[in-house]
Amino acid sequence: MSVITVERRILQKNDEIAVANRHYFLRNGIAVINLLSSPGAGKTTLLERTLQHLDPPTVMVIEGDVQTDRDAQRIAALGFRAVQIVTHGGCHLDAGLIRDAMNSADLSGVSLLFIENVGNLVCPACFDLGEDHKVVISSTTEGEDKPIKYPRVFREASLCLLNKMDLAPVVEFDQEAYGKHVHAVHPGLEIINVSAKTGQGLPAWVDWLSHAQQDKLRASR
Amino acid sequence: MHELSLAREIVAIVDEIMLQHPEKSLKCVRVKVGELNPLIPDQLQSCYEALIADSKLVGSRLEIIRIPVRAQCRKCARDFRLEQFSFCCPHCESTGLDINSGDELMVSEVEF
Ligand SMILES: Nc1nc2c(ncn2[C@@H]2O[C@H](COP(=O)(O)OP(=O)(O)OP(=O)(O)O)[C@@H](O)[C@H]2O)c(=O)[nH]1
Ligand SMILES: [Mg+2]
Ligand SMILES: [Zn+2]
Repeated sequence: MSVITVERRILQKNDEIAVANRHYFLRNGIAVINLLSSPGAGKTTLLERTLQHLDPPTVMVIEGDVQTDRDAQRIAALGFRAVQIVTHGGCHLDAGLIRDAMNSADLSGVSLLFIENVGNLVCPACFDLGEDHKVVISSTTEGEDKPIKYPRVFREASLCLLNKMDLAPVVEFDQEAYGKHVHAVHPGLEIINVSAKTGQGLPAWVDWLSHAQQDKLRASR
Repeated sequence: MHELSLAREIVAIVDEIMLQHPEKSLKCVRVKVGELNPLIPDQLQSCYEALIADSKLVGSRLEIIRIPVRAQCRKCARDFRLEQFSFCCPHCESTGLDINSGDELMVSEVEF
């Protein structure tokens, strides 16, 4: 019997591609936001609403879905560049899929890239794509306990958006309990309450995005 | 099912190692999985078994070593195991913590 020590990271290949992606985005001054939520929390609707505040030539959206290009079509209908990645059953995007999407896309003039990950709070959290920020979105209709059930994604997020605030009274959403759960797994994480339906909280979120863009521009000089 | 992606990466890493030891037959692959990783060990296990069926790795077993999350408090300097993903010191309730283990996701060793 012989034992050989390996000590190699299982996701080493993904992480190497993510590093290359990150270099590329830095060189080109593109701020990259990876949007994570469970299915139907409102990622695409919130993006549509967000894009109303942004300038089409400067923004691109990568849509990750298990099937169909419906989400990319929704974005393209607003006059923005959108690339659809269909994972054919895959539950997450990985760095290689992002690299391939970038290779086939026209990124000239883009300074902000949204990646809407596959709707899933578990798997996507493990895969670095080369983004600057993971933004986790939960919605009031999912209940208050998502952060403690899916701690990894809340831990890695730079920002938490609580969507469907318009429905909070209907579902008797307990905001205090939600905040406690978020901060148990990620002390100090900023939470912005939003509604993709009414537009509540959009200015604060758009403001946060413009800071992220400015930070990236400064770093790339 | 990210367990399938992870199992594929494990097999690729072990495949590479086996190229350097062509005369040996593989008995066991040990992987370390920190508890911060959302992963179902049984699923990783069955994905591994399915993937190796027709490969050089056939007959080997996957041993998953779970690594608990341990942290040290920056305020009171105590070291403790983190329970229930509550990132707060159980002694002084400070939230300034250094996480010392629990992030691992690696092929630790192979046994021939
Ligand atoms: N009332 C209300 N409904 C919303 C809000 N945001 C999204 N919705 C609705 O929630 C449903 C799902 O929204 P999507 O934007 O498609 O969700 P998603 O996260 O992109 O879903 P997947 O891409 O399938 O994971 C749609 O019917 C939206 O109209 C909101 O703030 N308030
Ligand atoms: Mg969507
Ligand atoms: Zn302490």
